[in-house]
Amino acid sequence: MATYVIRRAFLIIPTALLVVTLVFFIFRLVPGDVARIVAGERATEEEVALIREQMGLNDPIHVQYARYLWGLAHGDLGRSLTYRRQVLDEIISRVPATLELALAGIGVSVIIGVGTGIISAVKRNTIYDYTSMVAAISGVCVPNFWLGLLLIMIFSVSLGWLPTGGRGGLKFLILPTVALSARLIAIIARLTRSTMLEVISGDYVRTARAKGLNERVILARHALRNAMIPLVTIVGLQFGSLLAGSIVVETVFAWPGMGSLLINAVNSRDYPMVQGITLVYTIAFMVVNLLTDLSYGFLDPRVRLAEGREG
Amino acid sequence: MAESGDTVNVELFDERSKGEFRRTLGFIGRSKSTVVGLALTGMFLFVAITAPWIAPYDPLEGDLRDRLAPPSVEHPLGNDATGRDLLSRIIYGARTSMWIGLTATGLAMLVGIILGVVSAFYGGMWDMTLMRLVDVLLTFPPLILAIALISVLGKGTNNLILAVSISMVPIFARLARGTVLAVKENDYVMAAQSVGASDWRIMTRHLLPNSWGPVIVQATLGIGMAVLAAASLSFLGLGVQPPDPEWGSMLSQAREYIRYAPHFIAFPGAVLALFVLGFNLMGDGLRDLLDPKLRRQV
Repeated sequence: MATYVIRRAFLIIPTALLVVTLVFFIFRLVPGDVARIVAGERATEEEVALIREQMGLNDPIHVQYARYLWGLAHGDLGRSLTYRRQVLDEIISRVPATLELALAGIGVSVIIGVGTGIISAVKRNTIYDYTSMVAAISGVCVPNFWLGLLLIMIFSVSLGWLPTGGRGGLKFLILPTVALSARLIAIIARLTRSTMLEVISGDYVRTARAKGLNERVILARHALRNAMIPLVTIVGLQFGSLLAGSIVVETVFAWPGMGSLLINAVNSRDYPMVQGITLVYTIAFMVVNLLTDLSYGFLDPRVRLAEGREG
Repeated sequence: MAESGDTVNVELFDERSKGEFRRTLGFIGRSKSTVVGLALTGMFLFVAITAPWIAPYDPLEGDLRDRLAPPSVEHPLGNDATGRDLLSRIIYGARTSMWIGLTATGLAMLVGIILGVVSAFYGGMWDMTLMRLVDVLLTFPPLILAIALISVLGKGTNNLILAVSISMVPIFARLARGTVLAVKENDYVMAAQSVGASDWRIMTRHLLPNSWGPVIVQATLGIGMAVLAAASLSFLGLGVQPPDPEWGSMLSQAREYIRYAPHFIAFPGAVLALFVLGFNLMGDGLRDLLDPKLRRQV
């Protein structure tokens, strides 16, 4: 198992290096003079030249690239043009908010999605099943920003039950979490339903029923466990969508996370900040994919055995 | 005699084709969701094409006296913050969205197919290099890659289309590669190679035509995804710029008036959801249609 984990962990290193390189070159595509953008339209040529020198833009591209990698290795993502402080410091100050929203989103998605899917599978072809699946199909198509605005309109403006935005206690988390998790709930519910239907008709479930086991025990101990693997895959794969979705939801609810920081940075042309946040989001996504990969070994003994034989 | 033989063969072929066509229609007709998807997609396509003729008002001109007016007989969906007719803007928004969806998906499909087919056909170093590039692009959460590209290239519809299409290329590349790998081993491909057909001819005449199915399904689903991504980016102020009509951009403007003009939020969002639903249902239906197991069951 340890070999499996170490091998998987090492495999992301070359991909991470390529990602970092691609991000470097994307931000070298900026049209026009970056030094002029930083200095401002009214700056003199001497001031622009000084800034260009300070930013190292006069150096050859391979020197800039090496400096960039060296900085990354030491946790230096550059300096924000807007906040005049280290990009990493600003990102770190926003991570807790984004993490709170993302974890709440995933938690709610899994609990409600799996629950809905199981009940739909067990009560197949009933009104509950049809209603859930119609809601699930719609959930995938409803834009999260529109859902967020509708929730604000109903629960904040009309009913006055919940705040319109910002971050504070649990009350502030409810609406952004619902807006963020709706799509993933829909996907998980549909997947759980179809996987459970497959699993329920399996021989081992028939055997368990023949042995006289309680239906709930059959569902929890036999059926659901085998349905977990595709579920874990989907949650892992959809994490990227969730992260992207959190950018939009943070904007709708003025949630002070990395997403709203990213949009502000794009609008103020703070390229070091945009570059830094892009890297952080991408590396986070890679780590989640790695954890998803590793979880197969825990959930499915056949994967561990296969890896052991290859090793 | 040869002529009558040819006539019989042609008639038999026509009968078989008609039979296949009727079976396909029957299969589609039995799936309510596919019919709904086709109807919605057809409706939006019609609206997009005929927008200049069916929109009751100019989408860019408004009367400030009517700003934020609720639905009325003159303006069935109400007016926006500058008094422009919301129905006309939504109709033209369908045109914008259809253009963005088709162009972004078409571009992504073109580049993705080239990468996937070349990668699968030549294998070796080609496959390793191209698929490594695709893997790197896949590592980026899609919207984040698009935001990074727009931050560099600038806001606007053309850059939006470019950014969205780049983020979709990896999906098509992987799909094309997978289907071509499966088709490549068929006898007719080996036969073509043995008679000296050029690589280009083999790729375009044999591999591509037999790999279209899954790609078309993904393209249909991709149009919905592209429009949703474009609307999200426009909502964030990074895509289609005002005053051009686009549903996401309209919702971004509507935010400020959430207390006073619920219609300004409800209608553009509902239409956007229906658009995406139509293409998703149609894509799901196409996928079922092309699945031989499902067709046999029906």
